[in-house]
Amino acid sequence: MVKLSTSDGEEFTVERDVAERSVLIKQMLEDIGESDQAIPLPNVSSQVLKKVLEYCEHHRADPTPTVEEAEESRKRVTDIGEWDQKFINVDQEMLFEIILAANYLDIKPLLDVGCKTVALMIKGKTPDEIRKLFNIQNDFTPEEEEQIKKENEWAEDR
Amino acid sequence: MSVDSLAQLPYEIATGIFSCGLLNAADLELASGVSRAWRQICHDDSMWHKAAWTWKLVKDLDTTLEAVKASFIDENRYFAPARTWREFCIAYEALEKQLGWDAAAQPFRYPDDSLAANHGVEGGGKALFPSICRRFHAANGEIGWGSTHGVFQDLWRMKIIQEDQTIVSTGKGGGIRVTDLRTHELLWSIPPEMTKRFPHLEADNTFIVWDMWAQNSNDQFYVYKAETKYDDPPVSPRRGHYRPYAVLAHEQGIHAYRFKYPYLAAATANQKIVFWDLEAKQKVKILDISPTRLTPFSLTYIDFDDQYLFVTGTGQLDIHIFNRTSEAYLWSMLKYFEKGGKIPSGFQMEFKVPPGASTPGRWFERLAKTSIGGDALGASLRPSGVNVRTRDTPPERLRHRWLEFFNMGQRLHDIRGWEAIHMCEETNTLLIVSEMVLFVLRDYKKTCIDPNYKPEMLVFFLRDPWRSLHTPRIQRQFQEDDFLPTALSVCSGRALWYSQKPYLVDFKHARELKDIKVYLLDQLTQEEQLGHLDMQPRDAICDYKLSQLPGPHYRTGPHQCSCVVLTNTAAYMVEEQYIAPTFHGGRDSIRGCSGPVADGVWSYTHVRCYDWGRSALERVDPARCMEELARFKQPPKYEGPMPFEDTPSSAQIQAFYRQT
Repeated sequence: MVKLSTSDGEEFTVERDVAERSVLIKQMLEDIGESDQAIPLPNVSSQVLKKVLEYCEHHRADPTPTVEEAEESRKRVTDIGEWDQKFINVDQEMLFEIILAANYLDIKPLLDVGCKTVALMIKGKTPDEIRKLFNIQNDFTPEEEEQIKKENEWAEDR
Repeated sequence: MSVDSLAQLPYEIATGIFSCGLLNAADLELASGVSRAWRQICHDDSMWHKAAWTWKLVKDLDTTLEAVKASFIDENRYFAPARTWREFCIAYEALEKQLGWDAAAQPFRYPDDSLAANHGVEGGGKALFPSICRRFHAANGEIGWGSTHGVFQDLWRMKIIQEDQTIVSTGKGGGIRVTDLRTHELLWSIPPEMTKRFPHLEADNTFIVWDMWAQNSNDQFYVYKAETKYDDPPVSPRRGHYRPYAVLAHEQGIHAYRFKYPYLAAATANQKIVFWDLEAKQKVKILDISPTRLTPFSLTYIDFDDQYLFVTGTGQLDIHIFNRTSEAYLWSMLKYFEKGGKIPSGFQMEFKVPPGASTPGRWFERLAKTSIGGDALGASLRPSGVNVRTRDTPPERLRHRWLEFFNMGQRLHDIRGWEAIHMCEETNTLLIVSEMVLFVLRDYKKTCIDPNYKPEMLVFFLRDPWRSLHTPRIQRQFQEDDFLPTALSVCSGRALWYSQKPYLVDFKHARELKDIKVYLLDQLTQEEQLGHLDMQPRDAICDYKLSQLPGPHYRTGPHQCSCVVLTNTAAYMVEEQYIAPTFHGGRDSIRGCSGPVADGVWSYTHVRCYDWGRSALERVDPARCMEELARFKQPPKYEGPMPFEDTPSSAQIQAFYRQT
């Protein structure tokens, strides 16, 4: 069993193979060996870690891809799995938190799911729609905007 | 307060989102209009490079933009101005969209609506119809035998030389011309008496090579080398000009031949394939293909890559593969079925067959049931011979002309069989065509290496030509020794297949057999034709209006096609159409490219070109497209008599060969 402590001081106890989905934790465990001390994860809140562990739990049995396979899977544009789709169906704030956590904990497949989810949110949308969706301020001047619109005319016509 | 969570992400993750492969170039371009932060990410060229990789535009991240551009056959240089990955990807995507190869692919449509009704075809979508089509030079009227030298009298074969932006073409009456790809200005030529009639020709940016009679009635190759490619160039080498380089003699008649720098491979009458190294002017290999039992009468086509040699013949099972180095006989359809190979997967096209009719499907059913072996094999099974008597040898009255016929299309006029074979190395796919039949074999490399491997095979059968052509009305036209010429060109996961009409076969992204698609490149309607003619014609061909043609027969008549060329950005077809007082102007009128036509029948040859590269350009960069259009509109530069001063006279050439 491995103990993990979050930024807000909560402690999680998980089985080793679940925790080792995270390359960061795996390397730490290899470095320090098993100990009763909780591994501190200062960049992850308890709410997010709970979610991340849920993912690790579900994917605990997945074979670890070799480097080449990982590269290959990046190249292959696959859809997001059914379970992953449900899993990632969270609010935007949580989605970005998960992406950051997956990046920090070095969980490639989860980072991939997160990125693809964001990509799918962007796909096929006009700039206006994207701004609304992500609550982004338009910081272009009207002239710049006119210019961009002209440049991207072809892209909108689909 | 608004927080742009995406822009707050570590830069690498943000670019990772955009280059994950789910977003296409249009999405990325729109996203760049969201905010300054997004614009910065979306205009990062390393992000585009990564995206190009996930889109499988590049093999790995070490590939440079220049290398990718160089790997394209882009004779019109639509991709040349792309300085960044972003510009390149946008142009590429526009091109793919132009071809209808985006996600929403269109289903196959039956070639002819009335036929569709007869065959009970259901459904059917829109034929692929690229928006810019142009035709260029053509014959001016009757086929002229021994036409004056270099004049655009007719057209038979063409090759595109990308580096020089030229077209090297031959005429039915003989002769070779090198013309500018855009303006059609004549740059250089070889007189008709220097070639056979219906000359086949192979060319790349270094050599042009063609076959010619030798004095002892055997054949020889004439090899010319581009002036620009001589180590010691003549004073200021000129584009499109070639100089005599070698004469390659062989003690046998030459049949099909193919050239891939620096090797020329030729099938000879004694069941050998001879390889020459053209630079060295030497025979480098003689490969014995006698195990195939293919004779000069039954061998139809050859092709080769670095490792393998592919040979086809007239028999239904005459598809053979040899190892070029070890000369091992690796695979043949015959051997494959002898060993109990699986019958190829069914037809992509869905149509109901009337009860009791002989169906295309029977072809392979029968093939499975026939006991295989013996000499009768090749003769008994034919791709299209459902109702037709077929022979292995030409009829007596044509026998004396067989060599010439061979030259006409790398095939015997009177024999039906596989007419062309080409492989696509990029997708590891082999394509073989005959009239109305397209045969696809996937993973040919594995097929060659592993004798127990059962390759995925697929057959497209357009329809049973003989059944529909053997209606009383047309029967007189189609005798058993008529054929419908088929041509095939393969480029980068796609193939252009002309069998009465042009079809585009897309297997570029096919993960399974069923992903392979066939599209019909439809004929233009009259309005579209007139509307899209952007080059003002000089001679008869381009003046014709469909309304002036003799009615429906004209439109239903098969088009003859002697040559097709597919590149990454365009498709070219050398087509010939017959215009007769009536369609039944005589049997010869239908035989198309094969000879002079009956009195009162006019033939027009043109090159039909679907230029989706330019359509794509129009979409993403209208200003540059206008420039391009203006260049196309420039009239051909020649005026009055042709500039022949540059061209070696035939006497000079003959003198050269006597010396050699």
